[in-house]
Amino acid sequence: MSDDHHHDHPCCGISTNPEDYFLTRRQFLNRVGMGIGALSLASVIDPLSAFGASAVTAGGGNLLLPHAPHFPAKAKAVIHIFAQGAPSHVDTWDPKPALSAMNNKTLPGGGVAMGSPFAFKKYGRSGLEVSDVFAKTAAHADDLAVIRSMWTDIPAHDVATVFMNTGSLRLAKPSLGSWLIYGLGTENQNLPGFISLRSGGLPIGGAANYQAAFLPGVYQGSSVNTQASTVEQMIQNIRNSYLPPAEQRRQLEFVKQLNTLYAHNAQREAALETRLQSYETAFRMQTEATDAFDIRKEKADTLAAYGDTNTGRQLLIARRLVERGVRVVQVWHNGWDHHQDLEEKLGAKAAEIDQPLAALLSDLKQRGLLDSTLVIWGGEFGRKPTKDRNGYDNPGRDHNAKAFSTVMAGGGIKGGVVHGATDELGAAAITDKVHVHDLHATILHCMGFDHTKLTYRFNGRDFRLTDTAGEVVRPILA
Amino acid sequence: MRPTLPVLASALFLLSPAFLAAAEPTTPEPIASADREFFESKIRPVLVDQCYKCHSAQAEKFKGDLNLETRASTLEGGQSGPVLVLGKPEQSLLIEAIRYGNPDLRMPPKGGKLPDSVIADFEEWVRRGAPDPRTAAPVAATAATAHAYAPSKDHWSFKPVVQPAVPATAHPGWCLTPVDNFVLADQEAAGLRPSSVTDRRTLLRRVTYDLTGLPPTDPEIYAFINDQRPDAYARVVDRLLASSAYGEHSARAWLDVARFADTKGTVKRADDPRLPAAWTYRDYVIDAFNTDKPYNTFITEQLAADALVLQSLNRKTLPADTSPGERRILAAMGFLTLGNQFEGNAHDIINDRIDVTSKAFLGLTVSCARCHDHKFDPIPTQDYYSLYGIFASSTQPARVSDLPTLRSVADTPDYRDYLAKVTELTAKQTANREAFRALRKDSEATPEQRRQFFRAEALLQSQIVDLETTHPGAPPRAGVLTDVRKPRDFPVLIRGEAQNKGATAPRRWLSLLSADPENRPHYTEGSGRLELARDIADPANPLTARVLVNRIWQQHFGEGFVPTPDDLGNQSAPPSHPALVDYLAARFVQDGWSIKNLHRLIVLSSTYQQGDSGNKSYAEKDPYNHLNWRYNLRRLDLEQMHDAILSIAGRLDPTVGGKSVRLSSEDFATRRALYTFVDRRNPPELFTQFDFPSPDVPTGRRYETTVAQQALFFMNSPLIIETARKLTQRPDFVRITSTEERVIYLYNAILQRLPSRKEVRLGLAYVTATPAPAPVPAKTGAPTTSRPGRNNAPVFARRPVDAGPVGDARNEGPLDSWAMLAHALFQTNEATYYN
Repeated sequence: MSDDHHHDHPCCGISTNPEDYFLTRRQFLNRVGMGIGALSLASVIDPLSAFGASAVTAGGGNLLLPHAPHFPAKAKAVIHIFAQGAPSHVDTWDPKPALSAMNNKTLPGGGVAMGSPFAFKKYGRSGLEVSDVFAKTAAHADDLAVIRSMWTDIPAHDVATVFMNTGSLRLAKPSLGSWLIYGLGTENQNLPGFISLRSGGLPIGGAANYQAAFLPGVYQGSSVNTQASTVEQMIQNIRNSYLPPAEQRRQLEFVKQLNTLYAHNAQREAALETRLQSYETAFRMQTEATDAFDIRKEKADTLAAYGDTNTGRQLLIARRLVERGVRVVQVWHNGWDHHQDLEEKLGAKAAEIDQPLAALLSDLKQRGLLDSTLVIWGGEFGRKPTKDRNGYDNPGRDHNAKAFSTVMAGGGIKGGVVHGATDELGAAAITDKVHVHDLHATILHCMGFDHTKLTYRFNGRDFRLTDTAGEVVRPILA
Repeated sequence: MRPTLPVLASALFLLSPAFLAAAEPTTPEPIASADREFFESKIRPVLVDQCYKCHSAQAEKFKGDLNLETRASTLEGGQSGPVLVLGKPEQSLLIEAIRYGNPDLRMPPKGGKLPDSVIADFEEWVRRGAPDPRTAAPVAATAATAHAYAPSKDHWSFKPVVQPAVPATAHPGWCLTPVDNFVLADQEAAGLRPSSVTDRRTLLRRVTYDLTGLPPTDPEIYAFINDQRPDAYARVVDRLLASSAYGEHSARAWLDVARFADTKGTVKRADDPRLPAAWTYRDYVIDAFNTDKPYNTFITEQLAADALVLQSLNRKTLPADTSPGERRILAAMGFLTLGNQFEGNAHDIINDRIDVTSKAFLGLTVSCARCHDHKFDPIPTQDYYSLYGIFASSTQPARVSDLPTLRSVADTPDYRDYLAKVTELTAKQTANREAFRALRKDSEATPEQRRQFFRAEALLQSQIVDLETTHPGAPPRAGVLTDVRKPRDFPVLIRGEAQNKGATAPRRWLSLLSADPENRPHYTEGSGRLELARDIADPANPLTARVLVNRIWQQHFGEGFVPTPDDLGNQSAPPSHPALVDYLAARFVQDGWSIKNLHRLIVLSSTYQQGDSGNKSYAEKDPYNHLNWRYNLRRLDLEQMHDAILSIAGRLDPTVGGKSVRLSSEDFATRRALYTFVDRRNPPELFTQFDFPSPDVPTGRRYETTVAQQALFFMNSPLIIETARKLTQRPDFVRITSTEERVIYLYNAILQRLPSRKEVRLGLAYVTATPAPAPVPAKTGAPTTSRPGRNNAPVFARRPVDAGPVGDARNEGPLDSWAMLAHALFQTNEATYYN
């Protein structure tokens, strides 16, 4: 052991002289700029600056740096509100007068018809017909495109939910959000590029819904529980109550030195590299996330517009994230599986999202963000026009993979449009059918990608979100 | 590297007798055998792989009206006319397309131009006059392609297990268990060599984490390093397998598969969400692993312990005075009963039970056949309803207090108090229910009356569950199923709809796995669960042993032979070592279904004891290490990480079993992570961030994510930081005067190894540079010139020193430089990985 450790400058330019650590800001930046080796941070922020947001991106090796899509596109970000549990389309976005006329009659195909207990009205110049349960969102009718002819493969929640998010029924494939930040990078290096907001426990299918799968791990979505009331509870350990930022930075540099030594004999470099990146994001998040998730910083009237509810807070956070350059925000709104008590429960469920969704659209518009933000509302499949097989007193509807509705607005979407149709009872999509792969192709298109060309080579094959299918739904594009 | 699925599939097809039978006798014009060989080896595989997807009768998207499946249809051509001009490649559209010269006509459209050699083959084929033996499209051709939907029974895992001979290798000395012969034979065929054996510290850390989920302790490390006996390693393995930590660690993996949680998920109105008997199932599983319960018994008890007990007592119903030994196994049935309750929806609950049973034991997704015949596997809807009848003919006690107790109950004051209270609450509940029923007899209840009833019911339910979960006199209970009085068969529900009844599906075994599918015996003993269990655990069942062997292999290498442990059906990738799976499956059954023996076969192998040669060309040839030429770097899972931190801090409470422990977000339990109370709807945030699986779906393999919140946990959580601090406050650390030795101590404690000289130097540099006051004893600061401790002598035996409660992880003031060093070591990659 040498006795010169006060003057020793080991591999990564970290001085062991304590005096060096009483740094000026410029010294700090200098050190960061010159000292860090090839394996280290591609981008570092100045922890001493008042605004952590000003990330200094040095380029090279950072997979998350923003890059251009295949062609210019309006949408820069996505807010995907996942109405999990399979919302009934005939009670929300797909009016079926013929079904109401058949109410309580046995249908030829089996089952007893159940007309919607909710009334539909026409909204906006487009005259879009929407159920009363979405009356507030419907005020934006002329900004909405409603696909009434969605269909999917398997009407089981777990499979269909993961399918909606990954385009894969059985194999672990990257999620839509992961594909998007793989393609686009992210605008803000101080926050994860893809954030999944849940209220309480994990969604069915868990991390599969925002996984990177075989894409590099940095494209993984980060899941945040927005049910918690403070940032500290939403993102546990967001603050370090022991070390000032400069000391923490020095500690992380030291850890990185050790990691570099360890990497000599370790494989799975990609996994280790991902872990390193996650530390960098985490370090920067400490400043940025506390701000982004703190909705108390909003004006009272904005807070009131979204409403002081779980869902209201979720959508408000979603907007704050998009505003800060987060690329993909997945919002989980669970509980749409209405086998019984549909009138009561679906009404209540829709009421949870209607006002916040309307507020989100107004808010994005007012801030000039709606054009660059693609907003999607929808579930994993739809429901039958008949009463649920279980014959409860207060009936609901059973699963139906053949028909459901998805609503889109904002970036690249034409407003006031209905696309496709189900049969007269709403049992199955029949006109201009849109499969999940087609929806994915359309979303990618809105973000500037040819879905057949956004590929990743894995195990000797080029994979893509839409597998071997997918047609862009052009009539809803602006 | 493994061949990709389509390539393998077409290769299989070429070998399959179905093809030979279909092609051979019906060839219209005789073709020369050389031409036939040319077609079969060069042309057909490409057609099957690259073209059939769009140009065959079974195509998902039939394109261009062109069918390339038979000679006739190929010659006929498509929308653009004929695609072949025999003998003239230059004039053939097909050749033009695959040459990629015409931007408007490029085939295959995706995945790029075919290799030049393949294009040359096609040119040659056309030049020869496109000799082609194909008449009608043979069924096997499409069934064997990756994109075909017709479920095939020919899948490897559906065929009987035949124990293959142990292959000879060029290096028999390397082969310590038969596992090695199989692995090495494959490596030799691919021109690879295994890595040499890893060092003892690494090996001990690996096998200890793998078998017990914990890091080795200091004394364990030095005992192994100093053990010169030839069987030192085997002794370590025996010690680990005999430790109760083994059962705890193994249980956690099984609990993932059993979609275990302590709550019911979505419940019926007014029902209490807690599952008071969940923990007894967890303890049953721990005990089953620790006692090496034969796997076939483990299966049978989880599905039909009630029937086993009745059988052994020769009784029709469970008497109150069942002996404790008999009752204990009743807890096994938590496997079936502790799933999500789906608001009390019976169809969904049964579906969940079919799902967990078929995935856990058979690696089959039978629940897909609920509404339609399985798309990928040969499981008709009929079979789903055969199982449906079994579970629909089973019932569970309505009240918690009606569940059988696991022990005979001693008449203690606590018990008497509990009994009085539970009796009172139950009486109140009955009264409330009867009053509501009476009220509804005469007229419909008003909304207010309904609300009142449900409010009272909910309160009583929660009081009863409170009593069952917290009262000291409450006896542990088993979450059993029992048979209904009149078990019966149920009809198929067409498209899963109750009103849409089809043919009756007798309760019986799956057709796919029956010796004589047309004449399957009906289950006649009660619900049929015991018969079902026996069919699953039948040594002739091709799936059961393979599925288990695959799970255990995954436990030791990070990935099983088949990467999807809950699905070994048609949709799964082919196994990396087909012969080895079968060998192990056959051995496993011969060894009396002993899981511990299976572990021994694997961990005592040279394959398992390898290091990593870091061979770059191997890494290019086989990047996913399917040939096992090195040991895979493994990340600690949530429980390993959690328990390791406690163990390193000397705070791990070794108590085995008992009721689940609540983990609030702030503090940390001192029990192992598997004892943490898991609310199915809202697992602890720490768990969620570290890839704990959703308890609603059986999960044989967890996702491994790397996200910033995990980094935040290591960087900022008081738990980690205070653990680091406590480590440096231990008397045996404080006593050390040499700064170098302090660094060594921390490496040894946190990473279970000694640091290199460079690491010592870096560590010291870091410590010295730390501006915070460093309360290091006076003697430090004078670095010695001694080398780090020799690799075979204990530096500091880890003693169980009480370093204060970790559970109370609050910020206890500024950190000194040593605590910061320890904290840094916890943040390294190495602390979270083992190799």
